[in-house]
Order: sequence, then C-alpha cells, then structure tokens
Amino acid sequence: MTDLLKLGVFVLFAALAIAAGGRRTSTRRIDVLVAFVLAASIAAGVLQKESWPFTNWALVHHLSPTRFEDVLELEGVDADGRSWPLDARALQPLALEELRSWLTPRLAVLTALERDALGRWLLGRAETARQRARAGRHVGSNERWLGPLAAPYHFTRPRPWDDPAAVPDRPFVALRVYADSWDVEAPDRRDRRLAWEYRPGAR
Amino acid sequence: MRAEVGQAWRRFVNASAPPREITAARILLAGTALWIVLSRPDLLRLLELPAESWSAVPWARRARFGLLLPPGVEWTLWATLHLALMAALFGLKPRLSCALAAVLLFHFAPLEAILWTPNPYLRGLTLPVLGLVVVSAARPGDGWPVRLIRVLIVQAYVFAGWAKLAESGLSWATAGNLRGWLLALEQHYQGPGAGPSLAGALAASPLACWVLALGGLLFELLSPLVLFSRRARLVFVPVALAFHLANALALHIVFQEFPLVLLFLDWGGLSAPAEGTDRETAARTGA
Repeated sequence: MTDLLKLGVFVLFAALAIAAGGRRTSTRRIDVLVAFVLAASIAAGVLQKESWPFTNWALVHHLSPTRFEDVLELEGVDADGRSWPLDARALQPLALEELRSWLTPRLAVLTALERDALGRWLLGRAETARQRARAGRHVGSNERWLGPLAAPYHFTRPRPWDDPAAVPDRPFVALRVYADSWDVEAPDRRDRRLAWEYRPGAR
Repeated sequence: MRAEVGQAWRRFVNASAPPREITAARILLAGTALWIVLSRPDLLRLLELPAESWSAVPWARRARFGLLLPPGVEWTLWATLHLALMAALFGLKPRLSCALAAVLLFHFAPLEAILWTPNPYLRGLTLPVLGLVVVSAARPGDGWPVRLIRVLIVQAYVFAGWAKLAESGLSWATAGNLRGWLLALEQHYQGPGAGPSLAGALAASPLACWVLALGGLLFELLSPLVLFSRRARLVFVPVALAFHLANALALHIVFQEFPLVLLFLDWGGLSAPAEGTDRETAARTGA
C-alpha cells in the first residue's frame, strides 16, 4: 500500500509538470509544481523517509562501526579444489553490495531449491566472466560499451582480474560463500566460516 | 516578513534567465543519465535472476515502478530510454524527450537495488529523474527550472549532513569517527591484504581526520549558500569536485551524479542575455 502511495507521489509530480509545461495563462501552475517539489523533497530529507525519487540522501551517517559481522565473500572453486576470490565485476549487472544486502539476512532461510537456483545463476556469471577475463576482455558486463570510462558502482571494489595472469585458468565447478567477521582495529584476525557452497548436482 | 517571503517566491518563480541555462541543465542531466545507462548494458538481465530472488520483492513494489512487464516489452523500453536520452542530450523535441526519459528512468533505475530496497538514491539516477521532469516543463527563458534543480542538487548535500546530525549528533564530526570510517570502508570494500592505502595514511593522521570530518560536514551543511551567493557558487564547484574525488579515493564512495555540480557555473553569462526575455516571459505568464 505504501509503495502504491509513493507511486502516486511520482504520478502527481509528473502530472503537475505536464500542467506547468502546457499553455500558460498565469504562473499558478508553476507555483503549484515548485511548491510540490519543494515540499516533497524537503519532507523526504528532513524526515529521512524516502518516496523515491524524493529521497533522504543519508550516507555513512552512523558512527563508524567497530566490528563487522558476517560480511559475505564469494569464491569460485576449480576442478582441483582450489578456491579463488571472485572479482566483484564477475557478478555484473548485480553489484556485490546489492547481493550482500539482499542475501545476508536470507541465506539461512532459503530452501535447498532456492539456493540451487541462485547458485546456478551466480556460478554461471562467475564462469562466464572468468572466461572473458582469461581472454583479455572486459571482466564485467558494465564495461562492454564504455570500457574503463564506464560509471562505477556507488562503492568501488578492487579489480584483480585486470591482470589476466591473476585469473584462474581452470573452469569454476563450484561456488563458495564465506561469512567474514572481524574487529576494525584487528582486520588481519578475521573469523571466516563457510556459509554456503553450491556445487551443481551435489544434492 | 510575509511580504518579503512573497517577493522572494515571485522572484524564484518569475525571474527569467538566458535560455542557455536550461540547455546546460538538459545536457548535464541527460548526459549523466546516459553515462550511467550506457554503463549498465546488462541491467535487464537482473530480471532473469531466479524467481526465488524476486520473492522478497512485494508485488506492490514491482507495481510502483512498473516492473511487471514481459521481457520483450522491457527490452523495447530499455532501447527507447537510450533514444530518449540521446534526443534530450541533443535537444530533439526536448520537452517530450526529457519527459519520456524521466519516466523510463523512474521505471528502470530501481532495478539495480530493488531486491532489498526501493530507494536507489545512490545509484546515480535520482537527480536526473527529478531534473528531467522539471526540464520537461520548462520553456526558453524560464528561470525557475534551473533554480529548482539547483535546490534539488543542494539537498543531496545538506540532507546528507542533516542525516549525520540526526543519527549521530556532533559525535559524527570527530577525528575518531572519521578515522573509524576510513578504516572500516577500506577493510569492507577493498578486502584483506589490500596493502598501503590513502585511507590508511589519512587514518594515521589525527589532524587529517579532524579536517576531513569537520570540513566534510560543514561543506554539506553550508551548501545552501550557493543558492543565494554568486561568489559561493564560484567556490562551490571546485570544492564539490574535490570533495567527491576525496570520497572516491579515500572512502571508496562514488557519487555518480557529480557532473551535475557544473550546473552551478554561470552558463547564462556565457551568452548574451536573450533580448526581451523578461518581456516575453511576462507576456507568456500574463504577469
């Protein structure tokens, strides 16, 4: 219901713009449009409630964390059983941060079938990207048209597979998701646990 | 007081501006959006995620953004978005192309994050959606559209500062907190064993942390000054670009809408003011 009300806010915004852009006999329609935009955008910002595209603009507004819990890291596993950290671009068009935000609270409650479906998708993207990187082509799909000038995601990530020599030379046969936890003041002492392994046909 | 507010409002809405200002706004908004869109050629592949992934997205949320269409229609609309942005960029049927691009951006922009949030405000397309809707209502010589878009841009800064104060109070603007963020974001986004970094070097300097914490928050909270002072605008553009560069290099945070700060340059002054603009506006508005 809330989502549909927020759709209504955008529809009203667009309708007011159409009205203001139409034949003008006074500035009244512009007054209404400007007042609406100011009211909606200021309300979203002051109350810190979104009605996107009217939004709150909050970013790193908390006090800095002292510890991270269960930060998901993905690794591909080759036929020799060696595990390789994925270049985050391999998952594009899915950003690693979006995957983490969605998957972290759900990983424990996904059914086996759901995990299989997701694992198949992720492993497919990772293997396709690995092959592209081995061939010296762009790692992720985002750089297909603009190359290195492509807009990065909101949070930047390392690009280990820019060096083809750093790309695994054997196909991925499985995918592992690790959950890392650590204190910010002691980042080298990470607690790592295997949260999930997807291996086709393993069940 | 009431009369002064009324006069300020009338100046905001009625005062004309050289047509080049709206042209600059249109180019910057459409160009920024096109840059993001061309950088996400496979965005619609997210629709192919397993159905289980989409189960977390309520039907109403998909309806809000119109993400209920068959794949063939989505790909057609995606192509249309590219054409609309190109048309807006080059001024072909500008009001129509801006309106169409804005509606299609509203439809597609949430896709990147919708699995877990309906608020994709940090993915680069928020200001283009808002701004292109505003530009679609603009006529040559109107001053209010660019003034309104500038307000919307400033809000991105001032509400980012406001959110820090509302959530964390003045404790946010301390060297200790900024040092913590430098280290935390470096560890979180660069991973283990990343080696020496700018974030690490800055975190080691209490003075640098104080300067960045206080300077960053003050910059955000004082940004509305650019709406009232031409001198502040001259300072704002380079400071804002430096602010975003520092965020990208030290905190790994990219504000993809950064080109829009160029809208605070004096685009109107680059061309002679359109003769009779005020009169035309007055005639059109009946004022």
